[in-house]
Amino acid sequence: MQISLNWIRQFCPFETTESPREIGARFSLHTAEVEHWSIRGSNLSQILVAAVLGVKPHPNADRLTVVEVDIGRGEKRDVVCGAPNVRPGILVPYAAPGIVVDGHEIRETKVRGVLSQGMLCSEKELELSVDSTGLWELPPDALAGTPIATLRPDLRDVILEVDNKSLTHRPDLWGHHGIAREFSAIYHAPLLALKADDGLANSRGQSQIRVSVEGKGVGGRDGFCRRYCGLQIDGVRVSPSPDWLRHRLAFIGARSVNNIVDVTNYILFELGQPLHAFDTQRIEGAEVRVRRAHQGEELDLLDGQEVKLDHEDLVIADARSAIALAGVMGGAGSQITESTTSIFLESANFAPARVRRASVRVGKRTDSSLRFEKSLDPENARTGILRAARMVLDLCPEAKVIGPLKDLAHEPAQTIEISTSAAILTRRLGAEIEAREVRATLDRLGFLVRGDTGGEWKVRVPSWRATKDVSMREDLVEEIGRIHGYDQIKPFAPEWTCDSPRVNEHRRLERTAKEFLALHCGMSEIFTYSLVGAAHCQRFGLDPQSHLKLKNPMSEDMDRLRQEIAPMHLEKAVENQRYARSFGFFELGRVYRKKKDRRQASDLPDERSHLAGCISFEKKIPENFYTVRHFVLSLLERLRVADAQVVPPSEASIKPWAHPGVHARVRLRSKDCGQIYRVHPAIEAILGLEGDVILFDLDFDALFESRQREIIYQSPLKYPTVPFDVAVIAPERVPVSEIQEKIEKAAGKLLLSAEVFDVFHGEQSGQGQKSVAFHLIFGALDRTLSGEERKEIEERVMEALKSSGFPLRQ
Amino acid sequence: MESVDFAEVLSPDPAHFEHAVKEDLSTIQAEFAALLRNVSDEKELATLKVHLLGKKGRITGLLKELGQLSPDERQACGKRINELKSYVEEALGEAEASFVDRQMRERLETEWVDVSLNLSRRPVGNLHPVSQVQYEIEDIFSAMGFEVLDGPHVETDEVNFEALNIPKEHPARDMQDTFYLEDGNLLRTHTSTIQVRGMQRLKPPFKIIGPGKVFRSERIDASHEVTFHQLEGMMVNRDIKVAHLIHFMKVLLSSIFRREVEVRLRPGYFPFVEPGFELDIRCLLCSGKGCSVCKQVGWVELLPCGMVHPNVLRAGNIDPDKYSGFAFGLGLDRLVMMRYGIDDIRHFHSADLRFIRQFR
Repeated sequence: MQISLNWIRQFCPFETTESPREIGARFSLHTAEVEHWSIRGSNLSQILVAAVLGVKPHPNADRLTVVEVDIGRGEKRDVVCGAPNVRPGILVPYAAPGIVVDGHEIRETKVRGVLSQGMLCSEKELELSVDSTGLWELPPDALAGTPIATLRPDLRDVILEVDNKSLTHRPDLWGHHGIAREFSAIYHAPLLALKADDGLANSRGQSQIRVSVEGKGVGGRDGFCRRYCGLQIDGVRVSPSPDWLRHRLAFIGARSVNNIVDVTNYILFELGQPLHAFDTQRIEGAEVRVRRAHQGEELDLLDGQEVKLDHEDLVIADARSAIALAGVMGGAGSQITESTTSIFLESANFAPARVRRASVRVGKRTDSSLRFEKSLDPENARTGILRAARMVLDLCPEAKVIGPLKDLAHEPAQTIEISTSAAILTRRLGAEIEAREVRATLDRLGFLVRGDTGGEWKVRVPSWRATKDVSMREDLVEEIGRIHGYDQIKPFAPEWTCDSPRVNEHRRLERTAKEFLALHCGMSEIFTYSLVGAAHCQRFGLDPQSHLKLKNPMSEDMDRLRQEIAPMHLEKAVENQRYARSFGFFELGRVYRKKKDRRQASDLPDERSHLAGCISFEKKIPENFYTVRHFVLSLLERLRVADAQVVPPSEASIKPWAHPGVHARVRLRSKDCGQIYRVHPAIEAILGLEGDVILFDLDFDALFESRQREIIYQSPLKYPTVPFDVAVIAPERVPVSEIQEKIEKAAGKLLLSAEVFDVFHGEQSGQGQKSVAFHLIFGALDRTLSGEERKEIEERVMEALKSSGFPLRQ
Repeated sequence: MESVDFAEVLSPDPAHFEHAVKEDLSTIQAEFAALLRNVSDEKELATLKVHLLGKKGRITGLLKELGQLSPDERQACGKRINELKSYVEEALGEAEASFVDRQMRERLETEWVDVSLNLSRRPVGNLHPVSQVQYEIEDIFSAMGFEVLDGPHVETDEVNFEALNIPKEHPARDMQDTFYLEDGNLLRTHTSTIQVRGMQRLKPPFKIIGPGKVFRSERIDASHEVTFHQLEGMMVNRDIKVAHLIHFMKVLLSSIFRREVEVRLRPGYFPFVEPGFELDIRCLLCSGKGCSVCKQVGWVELLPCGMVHPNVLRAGNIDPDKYSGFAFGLGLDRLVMMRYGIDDIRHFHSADLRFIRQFR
């Protein structure tokens, strides 16, 4: 919202030496955020009133004229001008050479061969309004040579732009008078009350318009309208507004329409109360009804758009049809036109939720709806309409109010009283503020404080803050704190016993895992989106329908929650391969699945943390898989995940994008908890992946469950151990683990460790065969093994291998 | 290599022995010296040493045989043999040292590397810059006794809005563009949900933080993302004041930025706090001159915070008459952007390693 400081000063003549920027910053610190500020009319003291003496056609240009003007004290100038409305006798603004107008310095220069000594200005060129159709015609009684700033001091102004979001909770700040109240509290300046001409409420005569309001109250879904005020004014003449009104509206970014509409907007920006003016003659049946719309009812809005209404919408209707969407926008059929002579003014208090819903639904966030949805003060409905009526009468001297004010109040305004004291309020702030200052602040903001200054208080909340903004002590704490200034509060630490926080084991493990992959495996952490699209799912052979879908997605490619991380990593691998061939990244992210037995609406989907990684290698060689396998196993070792095994894949464990042959399952206590694999050649081809891309994916929650919390210490062996190397020949595709199991079974407890130290494929091992060499270590905790024991185990191992079909290699 | 037959040279010939002990030792010394000259490596030298000085070595043997001689002879021979022994020991030691010396010289001459050659390219990995900052802040708060919590990404309307004093139709729902799921739930729009779940689980007094991903249905551009990261903090006890909140925020900021940053606290409206504040810091990217990150204002909204609204405490089963608290929410992505001068939030989810790997 744009705020004119001239308008503010009209209500609160505050004194300050601060610059506009400083005023804006102060308002941000005490009330609401000022996003921008601008100074208007700073050049108007140099621009003078000029009287047009004569107009001659330009010898070399059809559309231009050469204008002779009197710029005061008998001085005359010739100015080349293109304005259509230039004619002898009118008074216009004149900018002499050297003056900056609309960002450009005026120069004495020849225009198509004729010397032009300055410029005559339009309102747009003086940044007064958007009007650029012709010269700004000044009032006929102005004196040539007078600076415009003297003629119209109101045109030198400072405009502050306040962030609407920071006013969300403050219905009272949507008009200048409310903002002025803040200035009064901030600058300790008086605030002038907004007076309503009560006499107008009791005008004589009888309006033919009958008003009725359906439904009761304002609260909840069924709330309609808390208050509806209507007033008929006859004898109006619709015309352009006077300059001061047009300029004032233009300064705060509002468009001038005509005198009647401008009055309603003026009150909206003054008091924050939206009004609407109907053409009395165009209200069918002389009847105004506030009612719910009929389902599918149509309404032509005054911006030219036709909307279909919903039964939840609230409308103003005449005897035949809807004539306005309540609180949002009037209809085209009953709007004010040049021929209007009688108006019916409406100033109401519509239910905030209903206005909000309707405005969102039809996509019209108007100055009116923005205000209604904040819960306006019902008192303003009356004040607003009476002030508007007064203005209409001032602008149209022949106009007359017909009959008394129609004021249908369904709900008496509630009064809120809060019991508190200065001590309670300042205690919550933790600041020492004198009770007198606290009380003075509340006074200036319109709160009525009863009770001794130093004792218990009853604080009555003013009607403009009582609709939902202020209702409890904490709200008063805010009032005191912000006006006093939060920067004035001296911070200090609370008293608290020194206890060490409970450790979040899951997060700690996450961090350990990430750091391990980064530092030990040289991988980088990435983030990818939790949202994917159907096309993505299909590309990787996943069923899009099984995914949790968004009701209001932003786009098709982000409309459901992912069930897998790896496919996204493959896409990211493609992107990164544009710049590098050899890299690795990982992500600890979540995957989301529908809950199988969802009982109630509040049951949340299954969310699991997965640790997934992707490594791109330069060349496709078998070692790559073993490198990643080693990364995963050493990670599990670091995380102290017990009983992890890497086993061949099962049909179910192989993802559609995974190579079925270069593929391993990670198992934890006979439950699958992850995979390590090369990307499937078909996907590799589709995506255009190069080199060798190996992925892993671990169910991190499962790892967390089976982690070993503590280190179980064993003293190092006291007795010597005995090494024994043995090599066997085995068929190519027999897993080494199978051979090792035979060894372990045969050797029993005295086998301390068994490690493969060489796998050899070659002529010596025979076609389709491999040679596997193990390094075994025997030993016992309580003694040195005897020669016979050693010999016996070795024999047992060798015998077991031979009888299992693995001949020994010498 | 020609090996030396020590056995032959120093044979256990009694006559030779006689000669050795009774006559002059110089011959033996000369013979030994000749032998030593023929030794070509350490291994041969070791063999020679064992033959002479080992347990069954020749000189050791001579000493053992001394016992067979008469006391007079024993003394004279003993002296001679010991002289011989020291001579041999010294000569062997010298030979040994020269061998080590020679080897060392050879190694030093042959061993060489090309320092410009980069053969082993094992990369150093790293965490995402947002994770790094998150952990840094977790550490700061853990050290101050805060517990770290987390919660689900998919949340109920109740937890994300109702329990935070944002009923249906509340204009504040506009402030956050929410992704709703077809099943009626939603993607959390802020980490304040962690606060709600924390209150349900913990009894005051408590101090918690909750970092995590949040989701907003916003058009993605240089300063808006559909997914970003927040860190929620909350402290509840008897008589918690605004002054306490400011204290913790100052500690936090000085720890994060490790330098003086200009801050301002101004009133801010968030339905879950009362009073509520916006904590702004002077834009570090442009030093307040105005840029795309600070939307040309020079200040960056860093941190919404405030005193927990009584309704929120009630929703968390905490009696607002007995307890009060403060809460804050920190935008981690924006913090990282300010720290490193990153002007586009889209980098964070790009998975572009040219971006990520700079933060090692």
